[in-house]
Amino acid sequence: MGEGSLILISVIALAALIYSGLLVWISQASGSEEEMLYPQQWEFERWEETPPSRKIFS
Amino acid sequence: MRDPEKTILSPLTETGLGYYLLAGLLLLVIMWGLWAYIFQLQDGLGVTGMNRPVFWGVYITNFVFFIGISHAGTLISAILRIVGAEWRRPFTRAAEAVTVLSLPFGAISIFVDLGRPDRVLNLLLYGRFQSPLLWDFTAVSLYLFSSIFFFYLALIPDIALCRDRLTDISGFRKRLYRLLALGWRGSNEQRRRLERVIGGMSVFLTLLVVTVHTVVAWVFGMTTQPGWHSTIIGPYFLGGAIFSGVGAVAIVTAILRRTFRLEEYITPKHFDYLGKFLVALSLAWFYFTFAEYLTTLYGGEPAHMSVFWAKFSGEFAPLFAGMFIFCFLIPLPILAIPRTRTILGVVIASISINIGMWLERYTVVVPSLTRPRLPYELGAYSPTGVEWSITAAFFAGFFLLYLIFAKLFPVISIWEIKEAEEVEERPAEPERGWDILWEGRQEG
Amino acid sequence: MTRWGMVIDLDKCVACQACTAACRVENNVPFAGPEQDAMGRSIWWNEVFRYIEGEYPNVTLRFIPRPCMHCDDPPCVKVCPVDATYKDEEGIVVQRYERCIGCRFCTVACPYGARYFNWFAPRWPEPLDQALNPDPEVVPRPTGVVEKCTFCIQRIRKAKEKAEAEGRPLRDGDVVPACVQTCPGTTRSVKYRN
Repeated sequence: MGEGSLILISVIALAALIYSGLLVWISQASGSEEEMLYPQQWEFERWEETPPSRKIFS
Repeated sequence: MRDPEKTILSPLTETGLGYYLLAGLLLLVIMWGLWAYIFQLQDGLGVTGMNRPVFWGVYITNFVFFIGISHAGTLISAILRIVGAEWRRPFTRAAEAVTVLSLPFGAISIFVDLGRPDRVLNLLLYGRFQSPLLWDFTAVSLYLFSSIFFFYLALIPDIALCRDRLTDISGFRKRLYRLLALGWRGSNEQRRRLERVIGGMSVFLTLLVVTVHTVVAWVFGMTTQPGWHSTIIGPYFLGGAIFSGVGAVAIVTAILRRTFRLEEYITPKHFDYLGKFLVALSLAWFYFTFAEYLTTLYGGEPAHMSVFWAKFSGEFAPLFAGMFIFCFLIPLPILAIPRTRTILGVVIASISINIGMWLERYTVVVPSLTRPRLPYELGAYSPTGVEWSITAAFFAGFFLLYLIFAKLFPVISIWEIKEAEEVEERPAEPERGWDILWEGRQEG
Repeated sequence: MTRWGMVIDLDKCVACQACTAACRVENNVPFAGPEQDAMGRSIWWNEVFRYIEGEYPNVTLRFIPRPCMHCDDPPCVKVCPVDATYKDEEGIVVQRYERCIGCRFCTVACPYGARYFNWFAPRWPEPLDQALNPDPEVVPRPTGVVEKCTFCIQRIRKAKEKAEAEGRPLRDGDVVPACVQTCPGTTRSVKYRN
């Protein structure tokens, strides 16, 4: 296999590895409601009113 | 607090007729371009206007152009984030979307230009490290991959918002949001980690931006063709890329603002900043262009002067003059004078800039090829309908993908706007972990 | 180590174009036709350029036969992304038709304009298609690949096989590329260096 191909594949593979690792790291972060600094921001209420409609272009 | 959500999220649940009509039209253009490409596959590249000595033409121009536009997303999202420019917040997502969606068309442009696309895997089997095309392939692939990752990262809190707020959507979309949200709950620890990764990726992407377009420039710069073999070509292409990219972001942002009623979040002040930024970029572009041609003229080498006169007084003079008019003479006054630096003014200037920059790419690629050192005969090139159809399809494809993006995800980064608001509202406190990257931030 | 070289005596060249024609026949170079030729699509592995210098009445006509120069440091080899062109140990810049992806970077990098591209599938008009060279090394190239002068590498191979069969090393005069063979004015000759 050409050396250029090896470099290309290694670079992409390394990036894929690092990025998936980072995603796992972020999603594994612990989070209990008590810890949140601004709890009012993340209230998961259901959206009661219908949203304003956009007629022609949405 | 919920109002930004309502305004910004409503396009995700409501779709008007205009949307479908536009999407249908774009799809037609794409189908037309696809048919043109199939025609090219069947008959060979001879259906284009390329020949000997003009072996590269519109396709390679498109390649450089689309990769060029993509740089602005990273600039606005990553670089402005690093320097703490708060005014970037409302349009970072739109800008990142420009990056992620224009890069693939740069890559497809090269694929369309290949004589044997069926053998493209040879790049993965026999790639040679010495070839600038392989540096290109590596850099652009890495940049695309990293930009998608970066785009996704900044989307996660908003995907979680969609997951929780949007009830009136299809089951498929609900599952999509749940999957992509990665279990986001907005906890301290999650936010801290996300901010750190985004901060790190911002730095990495900034480095990549410099690398990618320099390497694209070196596809030309590393040959000995007169007009290409210039030391300044790396920075020249990079400056030009950022220039056209910021213009593209301005156009896209203005369209989004109007159609989605985002006037509250994207204000004339933002366009004022973008406009001033474009002034600086226009002057930088002018400086590079001037330096390049003055040194060529002064050196007076015959092969170089042949290309020089082709651009200044030969058959390429109209296109070259057009480039200068569209890149500099039209936009600079509009953007430099405060009274004309309105949203409309910035959009007009940006459209002009992008036309000019496409012409700039064309007049870099083609004139040098028409004046080869040997043979002594003049080359000529006129692009055919196949090339124009495929070019149109690329632009249509970009806009169609953007329409789909605007339907699936909020075009403004809701969590980043809220983050800015909460900083303003917060009483004076010692800095938290995620503020360390934002030292010295200005008022938004 | 063998290194091939060709000497072209510019003072003797009369631009008869016999070398150009012979090369096309020997190497199965495809036909372009008048329309495609006007567009610049003809393939000439060897070309003879005429260059007029000076103004009447002090005019000089220069002829420059231009095969591939098989450069010592080939810019085309440097830029090929898939190693479809390379310089072999004997100094010939070889083209691998089956690997070429048709990116045309090499054609653009060559300072002599010695490289050509197959814009269409190869074709020959009626009687000519019966006269193709059957040698497997010069099988007509498919659409979308780059080709160029190969120093008649098939003739080098044949000469080597003949010498080996006769149990002797290669001698001067064994290898005769088509252009050299056809040149009427002994303008071209091939040297064999060790």
